[in-house]
Amino acid sequence: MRPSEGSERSELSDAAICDKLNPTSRRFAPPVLRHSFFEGAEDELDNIKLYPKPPEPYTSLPVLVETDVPAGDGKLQVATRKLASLGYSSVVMLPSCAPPGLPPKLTDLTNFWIAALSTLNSARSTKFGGFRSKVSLEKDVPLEWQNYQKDVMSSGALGKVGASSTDDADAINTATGDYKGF
Amino acid sequence: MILLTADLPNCSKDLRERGKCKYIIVPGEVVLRETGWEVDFASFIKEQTESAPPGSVPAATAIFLDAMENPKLFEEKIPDLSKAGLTGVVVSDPSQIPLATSLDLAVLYKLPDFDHSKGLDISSDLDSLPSTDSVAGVILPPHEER
Repeated sequence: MRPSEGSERSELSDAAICDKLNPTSRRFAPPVLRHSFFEGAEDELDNIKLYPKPPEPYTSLPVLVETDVPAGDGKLQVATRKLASLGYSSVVMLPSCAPPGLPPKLTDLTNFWIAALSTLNSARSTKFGGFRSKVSLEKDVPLEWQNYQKDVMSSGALGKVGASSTDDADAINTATGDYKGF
Repeated sequence: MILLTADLPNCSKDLRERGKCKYIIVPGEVVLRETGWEVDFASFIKEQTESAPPGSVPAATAIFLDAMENPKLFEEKIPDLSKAGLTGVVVSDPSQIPLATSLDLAVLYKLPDFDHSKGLDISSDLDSLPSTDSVAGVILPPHEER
């Protein structure tokens, strides 16, 4: 951990810090909405310039940054990706990141943060949406799978195709800790 | 992964194994309570480190204590917690850094105010510190609205 012991910035590079899920009044403090900094950030991610590393002798020292962007609809994910793109080693997520309606149950909070951390940790993989396999297969498995999906969807087994997204939104029960995206 | 939370004994295993949480930062005030799991915080630290043998995946969770709002922690709690396996502390007062260093604790130094136009240039904030040997990282405040 210590620079003098040879730690590198990368030691904390995957860190996402969730701040103070405190059983006191701070736990669900109203979010301080400063997230306009991140509005439209998703479109800019590829154009973000990496900050220069800290000057010597602090070059290898991890620099973390807090965020209070509330989770939901991908806002927190965009915010953390932007911060990572700027060069911060880690992101500290403040209490306002947790959904305001999340009940003060430890298990629900745990599940929320586990899901959030898992999602945010895998953010890099979303950049590979255009990846295509070059492996030659005897069968065209992707095509067969696509055809299978079409058959299932057209059969109606999965419900009405193209149903309104508001139907899905109604299925989210925030009282039990459900949330939509990070 | 660093996670700051308060009520961890029952969820810490999940956080470590399912969330692959590598770091936990606990608010200092919970350690000062008279009742609840916090009074047995030392045992919690030991459980976190002993239940994950060195080299295991996921590895043991490193635990930091947020000492920013409770300076008395350094006198009343942190020395014993250090012996129990506490990894480090979060401080914003430079005078607390030597205290942490003397206890062989890593320091996450939080800057309450920072001009983000400086990017990652934290040199002016760190140059004034008595020592940065034990500083394991610097925490900057959120980006302000632009």
